Amino acid sequence: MMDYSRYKVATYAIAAILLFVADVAVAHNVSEQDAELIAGKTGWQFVLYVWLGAKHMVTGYDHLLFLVGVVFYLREFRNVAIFVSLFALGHSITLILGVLLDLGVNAYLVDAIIGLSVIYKGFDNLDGFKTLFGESPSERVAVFLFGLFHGLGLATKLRDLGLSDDGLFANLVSFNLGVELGQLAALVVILLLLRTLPRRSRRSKTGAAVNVGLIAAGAALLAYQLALYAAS
Amino acid sequence: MNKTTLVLVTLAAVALGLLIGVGLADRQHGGPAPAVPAPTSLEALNGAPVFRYLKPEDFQGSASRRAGDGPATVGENFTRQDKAWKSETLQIELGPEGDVEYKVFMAEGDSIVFTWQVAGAKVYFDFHAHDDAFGKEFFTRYEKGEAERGAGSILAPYTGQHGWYWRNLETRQATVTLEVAGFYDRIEEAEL
Repeated sequence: MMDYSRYKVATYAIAAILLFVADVAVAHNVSEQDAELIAGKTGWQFVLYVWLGAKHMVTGYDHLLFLVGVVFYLREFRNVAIFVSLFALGHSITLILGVLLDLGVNAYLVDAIIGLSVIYKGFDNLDGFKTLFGESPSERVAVFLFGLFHGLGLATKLRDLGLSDDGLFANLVSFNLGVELGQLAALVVILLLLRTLPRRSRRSKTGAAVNVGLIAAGAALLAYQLALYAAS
Repeated sequence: MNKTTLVLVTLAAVALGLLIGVGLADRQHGGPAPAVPAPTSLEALNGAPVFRYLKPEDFQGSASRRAGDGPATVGENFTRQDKAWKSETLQIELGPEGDVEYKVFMAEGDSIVFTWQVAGAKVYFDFHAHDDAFGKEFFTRYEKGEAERGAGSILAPYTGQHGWYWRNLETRQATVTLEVAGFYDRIEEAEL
């Protein structure tokens, strides 16, 4: 009976993740409104860009899924802080450099790699690399490297909004600050939700099921972006 | 989790995700891009003297202009038809180096779709139309060349005869199978 109820929770969790991805992916046209907000404004717009940064993080389902995977099996606050900082460092570097250097990377391909990062994290959480290959790649290095790609993804979206050169760097830093604030807010919610899952150990079937769900969601993101890339 | 379970579960999750992702992209993108509508001969001929020789570029220019203009209005692409709908399949025998001409009699505004293919030998074909008001010495050429098959549609720009001249280019017997469907008066073999 105990196992049965856990399966139920896991099924609901997977269904919720997939529905969330589906919903946001289809209704993901917020950037047009954002472009209107930015249009015509020059100089340092601190509040506007902090708000936009936070919004992009909180509505960025791909970043959130990766974040869920990263903190899923972390128990100590110290570890959460280390991993989230590595992720933040990675995406801050490429977010700022990507816009300043005007790196013309393809948004679909970057988002596809971000989908891949979600698959990786789900698989790693299942101990997949250890089980199949005997050892897993360094989690810290992986989080930092994938953080770089997440930052590139943010940079391409910010570039698409049509930024004014006037006050560009200050606005970028403001946007980045907003991203970190949004991430912090999302993190609090994620950690609270994870605590409600029964027995968050590696042996738990619920844990396995949620990470299988992450793999599925990551694959959906990957296929979605690659299909759009092929069609573009 | 043992190896087998891990691999199976992972593959299943990836497959499910790929399906969902492609489905979502398809929904958002609305499937493959629609093909550019083919120009009607009516549009290409509007305002032009009917005996003017039309080059293929005349049609292509029309197609690209239409593609740039966005969706055509309903009136341009829909023609009401009161004539009875017909469809015919003809087997046309072509002796060695023989030639033949078949005509579809159409009133202005009639429309057909057609397809033909030849078995046995290579043929030269000349697809053209004569306006009843001007006689046989004037014609509008749609297409000519050497081919094994052809297909297309006509929206008759004037009352007249629209059809094909075929010549067998080889010393073997050949058979042309012509299928015509749509709104027209009759199909006849023409005197050469």
